[in-house]
Amino acid sequence: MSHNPSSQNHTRICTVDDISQALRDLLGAESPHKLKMLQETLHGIRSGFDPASVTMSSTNIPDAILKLSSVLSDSNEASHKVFNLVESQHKIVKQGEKQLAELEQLAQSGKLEPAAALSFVAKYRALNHAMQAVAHDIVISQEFQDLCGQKVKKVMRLVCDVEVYLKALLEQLNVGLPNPKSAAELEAEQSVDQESTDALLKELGL
Amino acid sequence: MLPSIDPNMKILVVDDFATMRQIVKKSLGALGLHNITEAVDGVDALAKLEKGDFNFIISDWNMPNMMGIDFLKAVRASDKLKGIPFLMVTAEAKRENVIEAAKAGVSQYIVKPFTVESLEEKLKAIFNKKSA
Repeated sequence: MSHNPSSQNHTRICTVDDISQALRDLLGAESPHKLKMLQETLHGIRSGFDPASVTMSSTNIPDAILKLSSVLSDSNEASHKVFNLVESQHKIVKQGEKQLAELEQLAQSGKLEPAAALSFVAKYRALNHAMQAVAHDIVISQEFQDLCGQKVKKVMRLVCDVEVYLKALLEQLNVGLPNPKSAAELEAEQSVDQESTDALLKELGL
Repeated sequence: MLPSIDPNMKILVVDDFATMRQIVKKSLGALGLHNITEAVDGVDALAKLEKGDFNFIISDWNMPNMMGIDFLKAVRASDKLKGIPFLMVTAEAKRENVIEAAKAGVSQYIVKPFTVESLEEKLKAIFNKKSA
């Protein structure tokens, strides 16, 4: 999934300067005191914005999107690696089974010479080593979680900062926050497990 | 492993995540079902369904371009495709989603992460009901 800023719709928003100009056009020379007061209020609102918000929108948020994007691709790559390693493990197990079957057949026919038995032991030991190497690679492939975890934590910290900033901004602008969701609304949003899903499906006639 | 199911039936697995498609394929393989085609989202799936005779659809709910629920509705709205059993797979099984899917005509619903056994149960529920 890629983030494509060019695909976003940009709505033309009136800037503080636009509003200031509109006030000048409306009030003009008729109410210079009112005009001055309103313009100062507008500029006060603009200067009251936390400079951190500029860094957030211009640097931190785009960076967070890149971080999450790399988490997505890294975890995807690691999953594929594990799938491939497990496939190779299956192949080794099959080789081992084949060799054991041959050994069993020889032993049952009474034709098993000590040299042949030792050769089987050597082959089987090699397969064991190969299995251990694959198991080691599987463990190493989980290394991505450390890096991804760090990236996710950074994004979580940013989301917390944005939350604090937005709340403060809404309070400053005296924008009422919506009422907390009711227990029924929260319950409807909760994910249900397979058992509850099955019960619900049964209720619905499935 | 699944006596009531044709092991050669043609299955369409729809998920935007390649890893999840692999997991579903492996799980179906463990049940003796190997005739599987993959699609990356509802749009891709509908195009593939138009071209081939599929017997079963397994689809994720949350996908780009076309959500699983919209894909299900499109399948049920098509004269050619409406009879195909449809198993919805989702990580977030919300009550309202389950109800919406049931109303839209889903055959069964399975919650991630799932086991081969639970997938087998779902297949039995779908195909035993179909053959009854």
